[in-house]
Amino acid sequence: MPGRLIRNAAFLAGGAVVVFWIFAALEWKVITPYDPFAVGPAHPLAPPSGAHWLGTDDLGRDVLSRVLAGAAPVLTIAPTATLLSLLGGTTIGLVAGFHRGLLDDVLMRLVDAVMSLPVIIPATVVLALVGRSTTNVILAIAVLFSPLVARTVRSAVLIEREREYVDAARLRGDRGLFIMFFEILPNVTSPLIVEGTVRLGYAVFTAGTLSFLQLGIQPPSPDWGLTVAVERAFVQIAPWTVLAPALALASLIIGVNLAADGVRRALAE
Amino acid sequence: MTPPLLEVEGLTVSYRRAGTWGTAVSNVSLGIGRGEAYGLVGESGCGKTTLALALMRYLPRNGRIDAGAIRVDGEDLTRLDGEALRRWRGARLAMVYQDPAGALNPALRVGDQIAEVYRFHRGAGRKEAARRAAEALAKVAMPDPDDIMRRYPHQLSGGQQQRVVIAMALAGGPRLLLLDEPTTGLDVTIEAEIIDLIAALRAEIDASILLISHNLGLVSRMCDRIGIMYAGRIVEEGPAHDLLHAPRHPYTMGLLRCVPRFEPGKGRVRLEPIPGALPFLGDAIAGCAFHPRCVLAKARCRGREPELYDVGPGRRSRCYFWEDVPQMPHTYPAAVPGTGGTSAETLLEVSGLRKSYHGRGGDTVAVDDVSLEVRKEETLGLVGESGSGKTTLARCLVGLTVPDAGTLVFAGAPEPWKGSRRGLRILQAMQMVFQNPETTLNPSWTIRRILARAVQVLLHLGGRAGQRRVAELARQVRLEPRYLDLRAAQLSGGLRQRAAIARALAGKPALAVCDEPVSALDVSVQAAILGLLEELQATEGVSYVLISHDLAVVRYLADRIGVMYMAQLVETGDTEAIFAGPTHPYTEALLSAIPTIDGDEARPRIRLGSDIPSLAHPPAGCRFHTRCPRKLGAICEREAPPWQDAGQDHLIRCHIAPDDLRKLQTPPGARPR
Repeated sequence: MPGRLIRNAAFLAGGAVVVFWIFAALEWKVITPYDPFAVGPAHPLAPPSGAHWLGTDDLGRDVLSRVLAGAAPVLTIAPTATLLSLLGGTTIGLVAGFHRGLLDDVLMRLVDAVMSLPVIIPATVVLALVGRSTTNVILAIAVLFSPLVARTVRSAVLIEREREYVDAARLRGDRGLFIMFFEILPNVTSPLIVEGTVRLGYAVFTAGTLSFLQLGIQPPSPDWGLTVAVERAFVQIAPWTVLAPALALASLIIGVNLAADGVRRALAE
Repeated sequence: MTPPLLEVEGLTVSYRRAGTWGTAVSNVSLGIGRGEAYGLVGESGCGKTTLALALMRYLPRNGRIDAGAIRVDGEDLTRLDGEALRRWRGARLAMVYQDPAGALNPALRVGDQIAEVYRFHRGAGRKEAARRAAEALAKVAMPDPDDIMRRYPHQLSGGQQQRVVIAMALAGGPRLLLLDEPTTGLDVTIEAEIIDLIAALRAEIDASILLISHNLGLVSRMCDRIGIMYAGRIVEEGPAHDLLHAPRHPYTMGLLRCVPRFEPGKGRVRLEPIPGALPFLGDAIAGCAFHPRCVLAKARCRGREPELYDVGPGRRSRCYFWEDVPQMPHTYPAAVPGTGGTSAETLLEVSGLRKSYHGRGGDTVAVDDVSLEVRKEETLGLVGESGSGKTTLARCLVGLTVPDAGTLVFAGAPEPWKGSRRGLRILQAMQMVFQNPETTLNPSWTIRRILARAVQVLLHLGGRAGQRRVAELARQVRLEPRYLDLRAAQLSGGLRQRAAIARALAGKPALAVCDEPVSALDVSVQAAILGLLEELQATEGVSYVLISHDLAVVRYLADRIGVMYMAQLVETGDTEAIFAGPTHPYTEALLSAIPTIDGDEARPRIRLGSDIPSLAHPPAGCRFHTRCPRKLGAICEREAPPWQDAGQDHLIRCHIAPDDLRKLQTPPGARPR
């Protein structure tokens, strides 16, 4: 599989973008030309120049530095939320798919209910109720994504549970939990990995949206979604303040999706 | 002499796998005359399907024709491209695939699919095409073509689907019809009808036939000439009867010796598996490709590859020592000590077993009031068409399916049906060997882990002691220790089935339920697995319930047989008693349906019709009356038949008395069997 991934140009391009932003998120303190939080009232809304490649914002902060540093919050929220949704969704999917019956019906109707709304609406309601914080954003995304993961895992489990090796495990007297987690789970990892990479893309998108609605991180964080929301008042006179973080967010989402596509193809072959 | 219709010359085809090219078909030359039926026989991986795909120019993208020519009517197909090729396919070449359900488009009505061929290849208008499609369906013996035309493929049975595919293949008026395992997924009774149909059509259409099959009996019945393929080469070729009765290549001889047969009157014939395993695609073998597995191999065979020598009228063999083949030494596996008398002690007793499923059309009874017993160290064979309830019955026995009614007594003690309520004792004592070697082993576990887990749970043996038992199991099923640390995907079908048998043996069972244990395997592997089962019965004292649609397999292994039809047992008795007759009319039809290598002409041909009634609405009276060729009259439609005793524990569920059955089943003038 690694060989197939390396030969896939789209995966390489997407992967490179993602790696770049991960590097920025980890090392922004070292690579940023200016302190992203340092206010410079002398040059508010300065256009791009040799000194400030991407210009400055309304408080005279260096936009390039803020964009690089802005990778950190989104790349904390999105992967953590994705991992949590994989954990929760896998458990729900395994149990529902394996046991079927009433439990499956109830769980899947709940999943339908969650999926019938655009993620952003329940997320807004939840965050309004429990309060705005990074942790709450992570939990909200994780909870809302779990049903999607659960559905994918369940459909894979439905196929696996009919296979004869599961019958053989029952015949030697093994119980449900063992069969679910040790016999079946290793055989549904492919769809799980694909689902995880796809979910990661959506998680970046959702995290950006929630920041834009200012339901998560608060200023003066350089978070991209938040920056777009704050600076959009100046979009007419200083479009670089909005464009730079918006393009950064878009490039990360596209990068993750290209990489996810590559992983899916490599696993499908 | 007129030139043959199809001429293949020096055809070589390779596939690319993991970056390297491996030869799948190597320098094959063959000719098929006009109106001739040619059979291509070989085990899986020998290149026969690749050859067919190359003929159709349907090779997958990682395949290529390296060399050679394919001429039909003198025109070289390897030079055709695009539109010209499209016109050729269907019009002059047509193919019938193994899986009819996959060959038909599930979203289109059957009639439209056939009509399309007339519109595309024959330029017929819409109405004209529909009319001719109906004619084509009538030609393949479909009752009520107009009704069938309006149906979707899933509304047809497997046999009907294959008829539709054949009708489509014939619609273009092909010069050459390629049949790739056309009956492999079908029941014997339906297979027999398809064979008869093709035989009847041959007389009518002016087409040559290339039949690809692993089934020697089938090609023997259908073909004029046969070519045997091994490792991408044709190793022997000749007229069907001569080749099968006096083979001139050790591989052909080996194949014939591993097929279970049932010549009337003969007892058990021992099977001889071919030693070794099939080479992998692209494995370079110096000299003769077959020499690593050949008992006749000498130093010369390892040097240069033999050519196809002329060895008789119309016969060719790729063997230096073809003259020695008739005296080829036997390779019987080590003698199995005393499988003879089974003890009279009952191991398993089931009575009144009934299992139904809820469906939209009401309840479907899958197993209806079945009672049976299995004695210690005996093999009970269960036969019947698909859907007769054999597998449901097996799953009930081992506790995977809970029946609605019935009692189970195992080794003298009543046991619950539900598997999770059964104690360790019965879990150890009753195990199952499954049909599908692809899914029977967990693909992400190593064989060692699979066996170790079974040993741990069933015998409470872990650590060193567990590993010792694993090694012992591997030895018992002749699985070399190096395979233990591999996963199922890295093993061949035969090796997987050995591992599955080892797993079933982990708890030293008294009874193993084997559900079609060899039906997915090649004949040479099948012979080895059957031999292994037989040997394990002798050494470990295991009883078997053997489920199979293959009567030859059942006859080979079973001491007693139960015949099932539509959820019910219709006949039980000793194997020899059933094969000697008299038998239930259904069993009689099953027996006559199987294509065999020898004695085909002597046996009566009984055809049942593929119209099997729905289990949700079984016919009243005797369930077999709708298809029974020996139906008496109204009584069969009204009253369920009684069990009649034909002597020696041989019971037949029929209104006809056993003595009358015997008279009916003895062909006039034939010696009584």
